Amino acid sequence: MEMRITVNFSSLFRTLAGVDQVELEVAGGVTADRLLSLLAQKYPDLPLERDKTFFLLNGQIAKGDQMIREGDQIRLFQLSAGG
Amino acid sequence: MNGYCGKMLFVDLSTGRHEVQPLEEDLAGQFIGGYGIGAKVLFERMEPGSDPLGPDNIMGFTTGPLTGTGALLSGRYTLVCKSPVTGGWNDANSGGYFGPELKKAGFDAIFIQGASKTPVYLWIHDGEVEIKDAGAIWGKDVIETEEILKSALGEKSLRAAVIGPAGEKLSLMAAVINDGHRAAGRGGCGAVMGAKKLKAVVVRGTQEVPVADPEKLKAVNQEIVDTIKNGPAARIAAAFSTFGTTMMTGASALSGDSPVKNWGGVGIVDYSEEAATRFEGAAMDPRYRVKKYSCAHCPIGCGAIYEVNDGKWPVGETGRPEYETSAAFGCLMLNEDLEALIKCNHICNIYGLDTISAGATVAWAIECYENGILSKADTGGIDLGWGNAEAIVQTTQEMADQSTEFGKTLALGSAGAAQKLGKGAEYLITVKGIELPMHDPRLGPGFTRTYAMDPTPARHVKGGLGLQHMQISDPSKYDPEGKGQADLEATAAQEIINTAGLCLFKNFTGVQNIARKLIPPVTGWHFDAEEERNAGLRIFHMRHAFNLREGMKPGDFPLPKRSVGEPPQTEGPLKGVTVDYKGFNQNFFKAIGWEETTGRPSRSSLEQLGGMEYVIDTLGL
Repeated sequence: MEMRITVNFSSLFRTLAGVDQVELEVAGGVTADRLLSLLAQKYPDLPLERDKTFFLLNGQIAKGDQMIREGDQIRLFQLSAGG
Repeated sequence: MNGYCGKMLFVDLSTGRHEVQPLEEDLAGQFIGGYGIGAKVLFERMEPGSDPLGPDNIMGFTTGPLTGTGALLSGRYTLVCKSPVTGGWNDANSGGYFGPELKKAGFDAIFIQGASKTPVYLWIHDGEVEIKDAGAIWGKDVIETEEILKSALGEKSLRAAVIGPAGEKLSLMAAVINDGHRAAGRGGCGAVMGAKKLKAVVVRGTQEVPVADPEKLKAVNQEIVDTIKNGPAARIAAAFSTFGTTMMTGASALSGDSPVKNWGGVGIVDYSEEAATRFEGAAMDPRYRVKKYSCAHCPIGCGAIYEVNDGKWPVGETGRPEYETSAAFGCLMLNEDLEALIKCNHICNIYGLDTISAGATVAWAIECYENGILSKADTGGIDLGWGNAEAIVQTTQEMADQSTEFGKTLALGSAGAAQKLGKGAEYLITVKGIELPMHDPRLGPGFTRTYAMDPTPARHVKGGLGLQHMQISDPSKYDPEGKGQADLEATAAQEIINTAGLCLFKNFTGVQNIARKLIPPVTGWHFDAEEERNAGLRIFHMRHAFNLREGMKPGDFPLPKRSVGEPPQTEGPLKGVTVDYKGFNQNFFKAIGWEETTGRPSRSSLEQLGGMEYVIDTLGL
């Protein structure tokens, strides 16, 4: 069964993607890692490296095998030290 | 000697005398520059127990071999002194143009001891040295000071490292400012300069710094530019070039990277997403930016100049707040008012205050007030509250100009204020009196070791695993086992970046091993991974030795409980996180060979490094 997912981009990703958020139709049972792959295909210029991308799922840092459900709040970002 | 002027200037403000001494190649080769040479000189010339605000404290303005040679990303200089906050080693680093101009003026470093009876400034121009009366600039802010100096000396192109009124009044958070908005901020170095009645070090020069292989340097510079433009990190470098360190302020506030509500809050709960985003360069620049700002020899140019001519707090032209400032005066105190952030940043710049410590001190005061520890009687009537922009600006102003008793108290920094008032210690977020910077070890656990055990505590720009950890979500980063060697390697490498004159933001260029690429063509030295590691460890140990000789030991640097998740947060991205900081320390100590209780290095490890004989003898290793 398909579900609609809204992914919010923060900071650098927002700047590079040119959008605040994106909506995707994905199959039920999608994991965080799988969602990341789908986004990497949609936005090939975004540096969506798995080890450097933070995936905030309902306010918590998600593990790659965590399942995404309809209505979940998702935020993606990358971090770097500032001065 | 290539890369160096080969000269160090020693000034005694008590006697008014100065002398020039050679910088020998041995010293340069072993300790590189910056705080490496600075630590060696101060360790050898200072006695333990010297009063940091007394005449025996030596203050150094030091450069690295790359500075002033045209090597890219090398415009930094470092201040060194004994800290009036920690009583131990202090160094603080700044960009802009002062460092290269000091080299052009003919000196690799200036060391200043003694104290003048009346305010003075140093004027150094093409090897000539003068101590001049600073009566006309004492009391002036840093912008006014530079304007007066340029006019008085008839030299528009001079550069100056200046204290503002905060340093003159011995605020323990006082910074030394150059180029109007670049700060050697931390550890109270501005107070040291103020105690010497030294208002400014002013430099101008036309001398060239010799380079061993100019063609090779040109080729390496081109490689750096090509990598920035076309390499794997090109898009990130471009974004950083535009928005600077405020590129990720919003993500940091919501992710657990930035501490929130004096380290007791949670970004996604206590701070609005709208404010977090508003404090990013992408949102601020369209409203306020008038021009780009680049430090000397920097192809990235991550700075910007803003202009604010209306609203509640017009300031005219001012530097764009950096990330640390945006967090310290933002989510740390739940301030959502952008104009207040810009105003507070401007106050800190022109009065000469470290924005990290200043913001953290205001946040501490707010929490004390909210919890009834401070009352309106203490604040002089200011109704301090989380996110109360007017109160935050007024408090910052009073802290900067010390026009009220409350301001004078806060000017001591949060730890000094708590000590003076005899209350509020439970809300301090400091290590040895230094306020923690805006990168939370609960997200980047490697920061625990750096914040506690670097000779300058509570610094995010010193080496270790914190910077790497904060960028990855893999939970294995919380396990300290086996990480000691990696921590050590990262520490040694960062010592070279800092002492060669390089900017930490080489991290955004995508260029690997930048010091090993630039140092050989400039100096003519062989400088491989082993040389880099050994020099880095020598420098690190020299700074550490200064602290050991002052009687300090590892137990003197406990981390505040909130910063390590004791107890852990109950919601948000850091829910349940407690950092095994003892494990990170233990693994590091094992790798570097320090005794756990005393912090003393082994004699054999220092003998192996070479150049540490005086330290071995002095510490009785």
